[in-house]
Amino acid sequence: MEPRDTQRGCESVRISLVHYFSWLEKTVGAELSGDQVGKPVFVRAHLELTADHGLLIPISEAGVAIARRWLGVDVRSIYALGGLKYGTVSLQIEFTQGQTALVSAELSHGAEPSVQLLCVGQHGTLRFEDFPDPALLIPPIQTPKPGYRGYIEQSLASGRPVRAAEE
Amino acid sequence: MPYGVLIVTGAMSHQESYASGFQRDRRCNLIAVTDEKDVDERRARLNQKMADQLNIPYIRDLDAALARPDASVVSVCTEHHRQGRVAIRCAEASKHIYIDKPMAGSLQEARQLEAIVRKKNLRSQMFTQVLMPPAQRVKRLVVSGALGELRAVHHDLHFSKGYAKDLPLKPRTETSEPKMFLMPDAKREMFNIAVYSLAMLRWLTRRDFKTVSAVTGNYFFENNARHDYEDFGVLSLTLDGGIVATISSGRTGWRSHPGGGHNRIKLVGTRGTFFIDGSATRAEITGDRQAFWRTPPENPADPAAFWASSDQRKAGAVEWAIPAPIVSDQSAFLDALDKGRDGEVAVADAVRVLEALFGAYRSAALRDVVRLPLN
Repeated sequence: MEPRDTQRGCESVRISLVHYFSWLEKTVGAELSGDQVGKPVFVRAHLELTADHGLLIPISEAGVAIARRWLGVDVRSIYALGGLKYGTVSLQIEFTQGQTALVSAELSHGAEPSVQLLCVGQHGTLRFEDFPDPALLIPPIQTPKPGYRGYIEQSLASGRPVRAAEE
Repeated sequence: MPYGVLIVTGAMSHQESYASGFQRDRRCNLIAVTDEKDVDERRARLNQKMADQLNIPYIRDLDAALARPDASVVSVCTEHHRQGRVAIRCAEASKHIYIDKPMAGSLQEARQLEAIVRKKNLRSQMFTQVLMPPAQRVKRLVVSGALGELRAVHHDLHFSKGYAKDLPLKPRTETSEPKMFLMPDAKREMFNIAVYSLAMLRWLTRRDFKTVSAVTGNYFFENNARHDYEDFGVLSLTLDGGIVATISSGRTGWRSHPGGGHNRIKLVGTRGTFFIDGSATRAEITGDRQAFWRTPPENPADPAAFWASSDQRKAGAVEWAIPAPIVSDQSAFLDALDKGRDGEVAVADAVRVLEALFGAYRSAALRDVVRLPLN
């Protein structure tokens, strides 16, 4: 693949992200709020949605925002590992009522995008695996509110967990 | 027979499977069940029970058993708070060490055991899951080079046993240096389950752990909460060479998985990624005659269903068929002894794993990153 084609591929994934995350949040959130697995206490998310190093932090940030909504509580702290030069960003998140999440954004290396989720509730689990089609999804990526990018970058720089202001 | 094996501590422990594994191997002669002289009445009764099942004597004095000239191997599987001191006595008696995981409840004792094993040139192996098919596949994928250089390993290992309740959710206040890890009705689950992930990381990479950050929680079990034992933990680690790893580990209740529990590994390399589902190999049948799978009645002697002998199994339609390892963990140790080398995860590796576990507790207590090895 020529460099220009690679860049075009990145843009294709980039414009798909907001729509995809919105769909993902609603689809999984509907199952979790249906109380089939009890109150959710842990989320594992592998988000392999881009070949662009520059999108790893925004994608991981979106993962934090989604996990926060599924768990229904605020973020207490974020600990970030990896970084752009490693091609992977891994977040360990603690929430205000003790729930936890592990969110990682990884490069797709030109392979098809993929998502693997495991949501653990007090009475069951939800497993979700998907290979999203970027062509189906349109709007550009947005910064979630509240945003977590500052905490992620601060943790990557310091090598320590960062307490979130929303606690 | 070349290997006389002493079974150190009996029923209602993982020794139930370890002793069977040694007994099935023709290279072994099981000599006796033994233990410390002053174990409590329950433990003595359970030791006698296993001796009866194996049709071997119960020698109540560990030192007398270790003096047997026909004993060359010990299978040590005591409660963790006394496993270090028991294993040290076995090593001092020049026995090769097969040991339950984690190897001890004290880092000081673990390091002392490592030193004796090295000085006496003994062979050792800690029980792990590295011979199980998911870990073997992970190794094959990494060795194949298809990933490029390994950058990250993420592992979720959950045991789906026990009856979960609606515990009130709140941040857990962790103990910096836990001393006790096991009761008949409760376990420190991060200690007992994350050890498998950490051992796999050590075995896979042969790298030292540099830092660990952890958060523990009480989400599911009243017994664990009552004893102030965590039933879930997440860990984030850095290893030599810039590899990062995350782990989620815990006991998540009968209904969290139709089989033994989620076992999911994601490998991230410079050239690609792999996602390995430990339940990917399975027989899955659906049909008119099936009922939804059922959980077993609670056994008051083992309410969390820790041990095989309490016979608490799910029943019903969907049951994951996890393939067995090519060789049992016990036979693999005997293979290693035959070749005059250590097992896949030796005492020296087990000490590094234990350091990461104790570092995780310290991190969870301090809510900060902890550097390894611990001082």
